[in-house]
Amino acid sequence: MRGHQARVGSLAWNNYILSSGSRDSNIHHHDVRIAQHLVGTLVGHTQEVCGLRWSPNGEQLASGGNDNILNIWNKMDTTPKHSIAHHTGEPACLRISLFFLSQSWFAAAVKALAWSPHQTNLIASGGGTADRKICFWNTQSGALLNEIDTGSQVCALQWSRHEKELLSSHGFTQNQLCLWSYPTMAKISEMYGHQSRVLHLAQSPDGNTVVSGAADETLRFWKCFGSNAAATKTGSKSANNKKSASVLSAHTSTIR
Amino acid sequence: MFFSWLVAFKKTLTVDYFLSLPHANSFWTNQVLDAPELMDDYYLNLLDWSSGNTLAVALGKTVYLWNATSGEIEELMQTQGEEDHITSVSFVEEGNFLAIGTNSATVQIWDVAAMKQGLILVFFLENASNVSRQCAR
Repeated sequence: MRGHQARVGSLAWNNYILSSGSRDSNIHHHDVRIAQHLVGTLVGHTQEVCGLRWSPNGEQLASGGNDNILNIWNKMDTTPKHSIAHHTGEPACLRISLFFLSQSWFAAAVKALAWSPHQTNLIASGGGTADRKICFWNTQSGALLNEIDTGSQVCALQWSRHEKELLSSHGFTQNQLCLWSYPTMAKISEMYGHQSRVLHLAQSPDGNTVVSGAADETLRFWKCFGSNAAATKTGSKSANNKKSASVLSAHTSTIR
Repeated sequence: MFFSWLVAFKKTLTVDYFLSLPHANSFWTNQVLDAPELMDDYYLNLLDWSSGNTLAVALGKTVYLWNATSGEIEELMQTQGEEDHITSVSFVEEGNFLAIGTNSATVQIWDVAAMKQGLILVFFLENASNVSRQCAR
């Protein structure tokens, strides 16, 4: 029984089970209650596992890798229920033949994963620079429900707990956050501010605030979900259209 | 202390951002935390917000906890090795434990509540047959 052989880039909890995804391409399940805690090893990727999320009901695990594959695992199973190589852009009939090529040709790692809090068996996944798509999957049937090309690398995804809305964060060229309405996928808003790609998103426990962490070494807070945001959406359309960098540079520097 | 964050509340500033869509950027709270050494690596997961309203962020070798209610910042832990750094953080649903993954392939679980009392509980999961527990005051 050995642990991981390379860095551990993704972690996900399901009650007392901690799942860890590593650059050694494996996912380990740890039962944190017992000394012999390694209770499962999932081999379903060929490259680094960078996205890992348990569904809200704890029944399914979604994992995304640098091999452009999205795997859906039923609870504690060691073979994936669905193994989806969609985030590469090629047609379905070429998927298998291009599978090996795609690993070196496309940078479409599946890192951004978000389970819907409103609907069971619904997950959103985002692809890297070569893919740029947000896809919606039924995790029972494995069916692709919807997809949309965002035009830039998708780094992270968060669902609103209050509304059927999805927030995505992006990389080159605009480093923006986008708020989408589901299922129409109409763009509600774009939010700018970061100077570099927005790698991480996290949501406050009340679901009203989202924090974004970017490669420009800042964290920014956004009130884009919930009741405050609803008031903003209807109330502040008269805001200035003028470009300004003053606010963006207004924050203070670091003391070392 | 070679590091500190400064929180900038600029509530008095007027809304003067560039807008490409209606009401774009009106969501920004004007609050920025500096996060020096936040690694520019697409494959890492370095940010998580607990149900207890604590934000965990990994900056290089160090994990910081930012209490979103009080605004206090605490340093939870640091990796030791020269090449080592944090590669992932994740709170358990109840928010009392934080799992941390590192570049040296370890998975550690920290008791966030107990840290405040000076008790740190660490599980090193690097070798599953040899679980070591460390208690330090």
